[in-house]
Amino acid sequence: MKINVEIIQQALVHNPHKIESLNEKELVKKMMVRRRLSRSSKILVYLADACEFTQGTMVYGSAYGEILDTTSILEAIKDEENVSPSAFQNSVYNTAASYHSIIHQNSAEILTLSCGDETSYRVMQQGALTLLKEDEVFVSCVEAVDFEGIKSLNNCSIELEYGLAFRLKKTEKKANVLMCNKSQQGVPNSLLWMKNLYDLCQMQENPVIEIEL
Amino acid sequence: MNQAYINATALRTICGDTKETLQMVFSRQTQLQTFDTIVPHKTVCIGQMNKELSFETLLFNAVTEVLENSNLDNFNNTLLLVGSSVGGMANSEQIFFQEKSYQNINPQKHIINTIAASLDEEYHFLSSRSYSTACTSSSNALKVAKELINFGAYKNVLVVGADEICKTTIFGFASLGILSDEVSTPFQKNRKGMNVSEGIGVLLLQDKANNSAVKLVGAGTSSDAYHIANPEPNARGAIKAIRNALHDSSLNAAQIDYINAHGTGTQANDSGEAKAIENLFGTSVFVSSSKPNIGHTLGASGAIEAVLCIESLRQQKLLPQIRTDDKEVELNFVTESKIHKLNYILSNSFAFGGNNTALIFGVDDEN
Repeated sequence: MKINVEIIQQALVHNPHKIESLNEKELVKKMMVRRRLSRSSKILVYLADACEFTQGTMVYGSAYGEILDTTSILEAIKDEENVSPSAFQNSVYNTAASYHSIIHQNSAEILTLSCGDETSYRVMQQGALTLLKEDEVFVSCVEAVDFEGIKSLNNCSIELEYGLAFRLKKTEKKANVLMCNKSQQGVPNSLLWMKNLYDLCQMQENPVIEIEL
Repeated sequence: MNQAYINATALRTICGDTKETLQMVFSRQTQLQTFDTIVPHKTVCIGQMNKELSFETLLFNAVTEVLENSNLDNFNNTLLLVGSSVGGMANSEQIFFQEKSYQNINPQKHIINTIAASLDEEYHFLSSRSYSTACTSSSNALKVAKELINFGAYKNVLVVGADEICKTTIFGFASLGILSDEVSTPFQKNRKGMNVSEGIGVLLLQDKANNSAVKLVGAGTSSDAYHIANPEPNARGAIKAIRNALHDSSLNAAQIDYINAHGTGTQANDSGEAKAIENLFGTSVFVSSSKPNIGHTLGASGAIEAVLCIESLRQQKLLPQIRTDDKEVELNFVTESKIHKLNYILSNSFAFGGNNTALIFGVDDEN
């Protein structure tokens, strides 16, 4: 079953290491909330703002989740130190999307997928399914893996903070974007599909893509 | 719109295989155990499966059991949806704590998707997706499965909820001060917290019913938009998710015969959930939590408790709660397993991030 999806807005942010400016002071007024945000949360809040999304269903994806908090828990256990309750609370895969909902008082559905290298395509499929019930959906994928020890694992030299987001709506219009699987230097495999879509959308007015559910 | 029928199910929990787990839950027994050597200076009551077989072997056994009890020869035309909160964390921990280094951790074996990848390698599914919304992970996978079948996108969807216990979750919940040192007592006055545990629940959803089919008639979700770990105290999010599930099923609250509560045994969860139940259903509907039997299996709990609800409907028998002698709220707790006419059961799941999911299972009157 296929449906056509129109891309209304899109956003991209990335850096080989830590993204310098995510405008968090402006975007998250409450200091207590701002201080608790994980790196993925800050990236997602930035992307959502760039797409002018505050309310409605969100589908979020990340292959590696909140790896910074996860590794800090592992280090604490190894060193026989106390585990930080904040690190544990922030270690679940839906952390970033949940912080966005808290900041914007958005009580709509949040789904988080983690599908390895296929994460960004699966997020888009889930977004398309949502459009069978809703007019619009916000989809986003983030990887934030700049933690101590990443050097020994990062064989592919991926950029360590990377995020993409799209606001989508269902359409009867014909598809005008044909996806291609192009490998790209520095892009995490889990986000590659969305990065290719982002690039194609730059070249197309009112981009529409066909998604198989 | 197609109906979503649950035609085959399987469990692997701390209580054993499907049959053993059902026998223990219906007879108010548990295999939760107390340890004082895992977390320094702390006694914790947690659930660990019999590790004569690896977690992966237990997972394959449960999936094979469902395949054998289905009308399918294989899963080549079946979509796999996995719900898990920790994925391959236990594997990563084993390497990290032994070697004190991340170097030999295979990222592909660490991530949530490792469960789907190993199942796909063994059974060759049509496609797969993994959901990770903490303790609602497999409930959300069930909701998506229902929608995909309702819209006619797929005929067969296998939902697997699987979470293996690991130090990260044990120490993490201990750091929050919500791990009990005894078997949890949900909704009771002197409750001391939860019992983190592990387990596997597998459900085959299809667009055609077999003889023992139970329908997934409704699913609803919401976000608390309140706090990253604490539930909204007035249960607005929980109420919204349950209302959405009722709306989705075209049922009213009076038609729900029994509620399998999320019922973790923590102060915050139980007080909020009790408010939600009382607000929507009053105090006469039957309620119980299965977590004192099998522990809190985190991302797997939605799928495991769904199987328990389905079995309750198949046997027309209420699921009892282990301890109900000190109740804090005037809800109608199931004190013993008994035959009762059951048409519709609600199962609640709530998670970190304020992620709420409610599922309604039902049998037609003529079944």
